[in-house]
Amino acid sequence: MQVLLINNDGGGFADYIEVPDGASVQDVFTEKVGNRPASDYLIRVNRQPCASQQILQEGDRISITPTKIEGAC
Amino acid sequence: MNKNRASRNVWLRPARRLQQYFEATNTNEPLTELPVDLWKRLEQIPHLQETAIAYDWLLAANRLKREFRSQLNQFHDAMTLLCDEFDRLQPRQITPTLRDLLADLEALADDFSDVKFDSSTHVLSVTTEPITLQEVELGPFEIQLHCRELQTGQLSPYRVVALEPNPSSTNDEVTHPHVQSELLCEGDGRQAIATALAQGRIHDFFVIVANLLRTYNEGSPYVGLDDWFGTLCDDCGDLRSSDAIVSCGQCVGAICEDCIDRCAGCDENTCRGCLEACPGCDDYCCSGCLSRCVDCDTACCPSCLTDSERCPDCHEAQEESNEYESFPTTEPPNPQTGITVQSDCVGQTAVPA
Ligand SMILES: [Zn+2]
Ligand SMILES: [Zn+2]
Ligand SMILES: [Zn+2]
Ligand SMILES: [Zn+2]
Ligand SMILES: [Zn+2]
Repeated sequence: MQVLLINNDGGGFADYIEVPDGASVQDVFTEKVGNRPASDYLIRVNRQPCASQQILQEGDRISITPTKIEGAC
Repeated sequence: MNKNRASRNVWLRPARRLQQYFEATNTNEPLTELPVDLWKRLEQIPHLQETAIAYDWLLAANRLKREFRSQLNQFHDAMTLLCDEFDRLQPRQITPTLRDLLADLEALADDFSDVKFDSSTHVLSVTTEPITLQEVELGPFEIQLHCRELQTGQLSPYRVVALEPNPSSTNDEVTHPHVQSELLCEGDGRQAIATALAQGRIHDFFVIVANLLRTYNEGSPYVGLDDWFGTLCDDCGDLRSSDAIVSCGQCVGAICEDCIDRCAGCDENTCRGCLEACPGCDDYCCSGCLSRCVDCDTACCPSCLTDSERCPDCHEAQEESNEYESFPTTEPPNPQTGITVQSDCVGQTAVPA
């Protein structure tokens, strides 16, 4: 099934991706962000706070935003 | 009527306005020019080659064949570049629908205390919680998205305004280590902010900016937090930033760059209080470079202190007394007259009348 993934880390990627049925928020996070701690990110499904085990539905919008983003002058 | 319906009504009008802005930016961007010259040359080459073959100019025909291949490569590269440029200018794979914008506005209202859309200035703003970084209280910030500037393609169509400013002591335009004159130094967030705005993801945009404000990068601030309250110059009492403060090599006092002096002897940064003028040459030196005259105890610079460790005055006096000693004031009595002859001047002897 397709979900919209928005990764606000680095370049700010936003696109529809294919995920297996029954995939959880954690699955997508691990695949796309890797082993970094989820606590360093604000993860939302359809703009709402979610549990890491939440099962994704077709068309869900997942956004991953780092909580710490360093400004630089 | 449930809460959702009620809040939807509140945000419907701003969402419609925003959608107009994002649609307008979508179509206003000029398209890049095509590599027409490269294409023209590519069109020419086969005709030229035909002619060359007709005249039996085989070397020329071969050269044209190679050129055709290399021009194809160049054309290919130019097209790839154009595609990249196009995607970079228009990274909006997702154009925000009215529903997206409405959902974004509602999510903003959940995440921020004060979300406002000013329909006269077309500014959408949210207010952060009071932000404290490394125990420095910076107060809440209003992040303002100036929607009209979205259309003009301005690089940062938003401002970050300190609502209860506690600016750095050395520059009151700096209200946050990464904000100067209401402009945010985006650093690691630059691309994500640009993409969020280009795609009309306003909830993401405000969350990214707020997270930037909640983070301190000590590697590259306008003014560092450890320097937020400035440093007092021990000499003139002015508040200065740490990079305008020098430590005196003698007393280790914090001295501003306007007050700092240098020792004429060792060239070290030294405050005026720690320098003393050498009486010989009037140069100012630190105590480490001055040495005491063995006779009068006056402090002298190394170049003025003589080998006998005397100041110029004492050295002169010593020389004079040495001369005096080599021409004694009394000569032995004349054995004939028994009268002592007083020496008056060098080489002259006064003879009594
Ligand atoms: Zn000073
Ligand atoms: Zn000093
Ligand atoms: Zn010195
Ligand atoms: Zn001297
Ligand atoms: Zn002396």
